[in-house]
Amino acid sequence: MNYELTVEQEQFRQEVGEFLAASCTPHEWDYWDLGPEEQLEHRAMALKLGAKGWLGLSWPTQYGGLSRSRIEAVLLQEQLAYYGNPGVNRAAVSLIGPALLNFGSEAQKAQHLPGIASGRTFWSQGFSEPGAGSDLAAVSTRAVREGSDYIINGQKIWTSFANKAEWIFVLARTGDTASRHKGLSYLLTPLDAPGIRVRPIRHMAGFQPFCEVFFDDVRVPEAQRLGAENAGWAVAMGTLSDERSGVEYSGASRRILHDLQAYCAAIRWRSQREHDGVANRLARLAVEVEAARLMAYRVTWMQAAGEDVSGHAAMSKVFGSELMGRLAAVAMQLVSSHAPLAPAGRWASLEARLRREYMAVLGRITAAGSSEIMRNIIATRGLRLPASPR
Amino acid sequence: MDFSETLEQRLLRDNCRTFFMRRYPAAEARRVQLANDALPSGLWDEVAALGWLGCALPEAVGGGDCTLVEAVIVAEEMGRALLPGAFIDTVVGAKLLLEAAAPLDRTSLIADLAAGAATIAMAIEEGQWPLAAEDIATSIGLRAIRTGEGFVLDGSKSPVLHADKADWLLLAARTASADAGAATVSGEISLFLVAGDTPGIRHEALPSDSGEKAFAVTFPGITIPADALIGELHQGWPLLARAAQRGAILSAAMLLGACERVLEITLEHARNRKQFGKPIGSLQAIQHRCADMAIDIAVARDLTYKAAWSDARTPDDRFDASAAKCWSSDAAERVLNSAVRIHGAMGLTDECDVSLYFRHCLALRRSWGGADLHADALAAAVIR
Repeated sequence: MNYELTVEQEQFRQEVGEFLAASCTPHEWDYWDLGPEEQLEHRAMALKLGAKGWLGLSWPTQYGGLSRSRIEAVLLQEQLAYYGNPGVNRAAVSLIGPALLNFGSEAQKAQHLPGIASGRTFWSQGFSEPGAGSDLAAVSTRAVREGSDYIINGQKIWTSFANKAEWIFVLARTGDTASRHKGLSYLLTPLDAPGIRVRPIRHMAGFQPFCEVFFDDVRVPEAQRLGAENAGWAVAMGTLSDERSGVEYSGASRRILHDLQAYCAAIRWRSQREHDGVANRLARLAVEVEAARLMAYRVTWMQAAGEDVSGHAAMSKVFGSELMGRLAAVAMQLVSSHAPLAPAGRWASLEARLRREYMAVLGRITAAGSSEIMRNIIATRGLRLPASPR
Repeated sequence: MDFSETLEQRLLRDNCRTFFMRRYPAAEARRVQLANDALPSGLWDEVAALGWLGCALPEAVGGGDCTLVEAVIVAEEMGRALLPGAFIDTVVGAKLLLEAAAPLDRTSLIADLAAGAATIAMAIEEGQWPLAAEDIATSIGLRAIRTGEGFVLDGSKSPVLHADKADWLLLAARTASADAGAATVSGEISLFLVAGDTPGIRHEALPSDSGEKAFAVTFPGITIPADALIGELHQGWPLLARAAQRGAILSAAMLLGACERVLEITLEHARNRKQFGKPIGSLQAIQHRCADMAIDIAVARDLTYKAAWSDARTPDDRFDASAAKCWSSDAAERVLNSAVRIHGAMGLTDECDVSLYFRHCLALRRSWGGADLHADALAAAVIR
């Protein structure tokens, strides 16, 4: 049992922290709030991270990675999340990248991984559909074989950043309708392919991370199929579980906590009672932020040791994402209570960011496996309770 | 970063679990708790002979030369077995004596504590731990007044666990008052080691349903020698705070062990109990409660072991110890409530083992400070 980082790990953690602190000020990064200007900065930052080799940190060097350990990867993810994930296209770096490493042919790896590792190519995830959310095996978008191509018809939704990415990975039905998860294939297609139409969907917080993507006779060469035909489910599940430690939630939670601490240190309290009440809530949340970090580190350590992490990763996801929700809820009470609402007020930008976070965090709790689905997984895979009747 | 236990730590855990399953099965725990009865004869001597009491003490005093992590493993297994007794007081008291510069060399007593040849009870509280950290020092009202031959104790302590069996009482007393020049309330506290059989000390048994024997101990003008002082006069607070940190970590560990066993019992029930023709454990309403119990316990585990690991490395940083007890106290409340709910009416009865854990944890949640006290202790640092 040892909670210390090695000298090398600690040096790396500091290097990342210093780089991000220098790169992310004075601009306040916001993962979700990407207007045209921020989008350019986001892209520029991706190239900087790519140049450092950090986007594919734990990937083999031949694909643009640095072959560093999972522990270092989690330290990087934690710091990036703390700064709002500047330059991080998660669909590329955390989802399709690892999927390509695990399931891709040499040609596919050579074609796609360098673009992801360098920060040049952004991706979007084409899994959910209007009729297939938590029940992902209900996917109805069809891919029909025509010679050495597939022709895709259908509709994907919650395809975050599809309006800003170059490629999309699509889970499509190649088997018959009743085949459920045994009839799905995993296809890669550029978003500018003929027949693709992208419609952004506005989030209640005012930004447009969500999209709907319509496929109308979109042609995808067989060479862009990841894994075997009708074996897309295994690739999709691998995509969702790899490198999932929950550290992005603990890093982001720590950021909200630090923001609130800075705010509390600067304001004039109206009374000691007010101060003590808030301090008590923050103290409990500080405990939880530390716990979220330990849980994520534990998952990472288990992954490195080759253990089954399904139960622990789900616990870390539920705890970390819901903790963000608790922090953001406290932030809403606190910051708007003292901050003048004038746009030029001292706390206006903090309040605006926390307000967006408060609304965005509900998406984090739902995305990548909702808390409800995660609790099912904890119960059935972690605790070995019998599967619930369907 | 390494979350694994060493081979020695795994063996210690396995040995503890096997031993308690054999020597202190649920039926024994039930007898002890429901009748407020004594432990099985010879059990505590066996625990001592196995070296567990002194596992966190240096080899020079006959200890196992391990860190608090090993003591936490033992405490976790004791919590799982519902074992009452003086384990926490022994570890905390012996470590305090070891760290304090005392007028007398206490090495042989510490060795006796490690070997189980002597017993000690920590006498700090005067009517439960307070809810705010700054009230710990002010809640100490027992006075120790300096005289020519030593000190005269006047006041009382309660609850003191297993005071009737204690060869020694380690107590916190007020030796100065603000008008005598002490700068702060905590600067008025001194610690004393008093023989349990000192004439005049009175014990009164308190009602207890947790399995722990609790007493109110009264000191009606008791004269003790000058060399009963532990550490410097008026300088007892830092030692006491350090002891309280360790008490918090060890009581969190006992809660952790208890909650883990409660989850196991509950999962077994959820798998076996059938309603509507299927196990209730296949229903999401039950599954999600169990998932939340598992999360509560996983968090308690990570915070408690981190705190034990930090104990020797960053002794002045109280965060980890208070974090562990703050979380574990609240988590145990939720875990035990869910366990009772999932067991239905049966969970409310003495016949169901869950009820034994319910009462045991209710006491453990308060000992060495509850969630509110530890949240308050952290609050002082969270906003600067």
